[in-house]
Amino acid sequence: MFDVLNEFLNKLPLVKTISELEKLIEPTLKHYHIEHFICTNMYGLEGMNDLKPMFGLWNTPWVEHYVRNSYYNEDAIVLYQKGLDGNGIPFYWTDLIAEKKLTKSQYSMFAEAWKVAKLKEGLVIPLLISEGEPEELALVSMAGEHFTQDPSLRGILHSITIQSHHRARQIIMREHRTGKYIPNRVVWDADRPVEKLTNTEITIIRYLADGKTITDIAKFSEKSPKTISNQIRAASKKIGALTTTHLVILAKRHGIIT
Amino acid sequence: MIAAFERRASMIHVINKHNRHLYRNTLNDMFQLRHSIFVDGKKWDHLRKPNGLEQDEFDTINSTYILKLSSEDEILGGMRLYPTTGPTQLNTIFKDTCVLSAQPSAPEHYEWSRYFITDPRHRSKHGKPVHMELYAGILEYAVAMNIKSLSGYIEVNTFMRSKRMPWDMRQLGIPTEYGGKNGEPTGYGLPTLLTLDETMLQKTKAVWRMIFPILSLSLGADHKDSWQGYKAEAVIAIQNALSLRSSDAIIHDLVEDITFQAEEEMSEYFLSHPTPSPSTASRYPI
Repeated sequence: MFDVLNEFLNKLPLVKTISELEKLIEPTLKHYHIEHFICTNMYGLEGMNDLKPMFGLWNTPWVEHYVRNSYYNEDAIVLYQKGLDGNGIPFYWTDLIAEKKLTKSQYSMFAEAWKVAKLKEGLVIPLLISEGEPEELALVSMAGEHFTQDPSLRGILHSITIQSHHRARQIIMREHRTGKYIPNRVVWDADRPVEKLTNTEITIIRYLADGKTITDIAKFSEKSPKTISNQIRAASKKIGALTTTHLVILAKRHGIIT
Repeated sequence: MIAAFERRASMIHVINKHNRHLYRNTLNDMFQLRHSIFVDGKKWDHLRKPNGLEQDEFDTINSTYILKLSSEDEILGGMRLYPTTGPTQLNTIFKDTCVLSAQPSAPEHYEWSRYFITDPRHRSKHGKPVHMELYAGILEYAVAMNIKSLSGYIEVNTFMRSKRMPWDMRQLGIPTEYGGKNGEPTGYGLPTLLTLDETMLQKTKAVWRMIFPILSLSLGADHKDSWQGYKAEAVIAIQNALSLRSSDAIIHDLVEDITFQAEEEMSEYFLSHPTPSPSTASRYPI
């Protein structure tokens, strides 16, 4: 179980670029059933003009979907992470879902991760970068369909994270010092054009935002629930929403409803 | 005379089998303080003692204590060093956690444990927090005594802080939870190994802007330079190196290892503080 970790730790000092680091991390984590991995620098995340991954951002469909829809603004993991007291103990996605009172959209995100990306369990590792004011935190989140809770596995993944983060920081600082541009590794396109919705679709989204059910909307509109469902599906397809909650979030984000 | 001078200075003291008779009260205070910190404060109840002195099987005549004492002999922080040639924490209590490598066992390898600070806000007259002086003192001592490595089971957060230093600290195992039995709190730590040499001490002191030795004079050690305490070859060499070498040369050596932030701080420091001449150094109150 520890051979792969030992091999990783031995190779890590030889890594000279972020790209090389990612090439080393990916097969190592995949060996431990991790299929989704992201590490972001949490500092400045609130304003979210920039997303600064310290290292490792697998461009999986789930990550693209997550970033494109600015889920980090409401993600329970991010919000919980900000309230941590810095004890450094990692926590699992399912424990967070079970122990914390999440909002509907936060549940929806986990449901999407489960259904769409098959990420059934995940591990979040808090990394305290500096203890100044404000505290600078890195967030590492990893997940997989066949990843399960296991103390030894958690220790291995935590080791990989700490050591990789340290190496990534050294590389980034060195590149920064030598004037090399460190691009954001996420193309965040919140303003991408969306297909125009019909007035009826916008009205339905407004009803959804007010908490009305499909049956309620069908009654108001004097249409069948099936018709309303079809119109919701059509609107979702146009703006890339995966659920009704997601549809409302995106409609707000794009200024379609206020 | 020397002892009287030293006792007035707020510095790092090394207490071992050679001089512990001079620190009898201090050691007693330390065991009381450890009881207060680890048993009453951290709730490690299995260490509770009726006499209020926290002592375990690794507090023996072979233990070395590195203590930061105030000018009034108040203990501000401390750490314990223990030889690895016999039973240690990592080869007994935490043996199962060393899943990557075993703890080295040799006269030049020591185990460190029972690190504590009484007041994180305390600053020395040079503006240094206790933990910096304590660690620098331990490293000075270790280098002077030809200790090649320090191993120990430490908190994960401490390990992460150590990654910001120009230290070669390696994992002997993975992070695991400990404690949590009989109402004790659960901790999260891992076994580690810190490799030491003179360059590492030099880099550490440069990052922390410590140019002069911080160990107090120590009495009774069977070291050939014991007449001047642990201000032995290694410490004098650092002092000389810092006097003779340009700040550019020092920074150049550090670039590969230290963080950008630390380097920036060092650059600022060396720009605003001329390298001290030997005559200035000799006036420093050690």
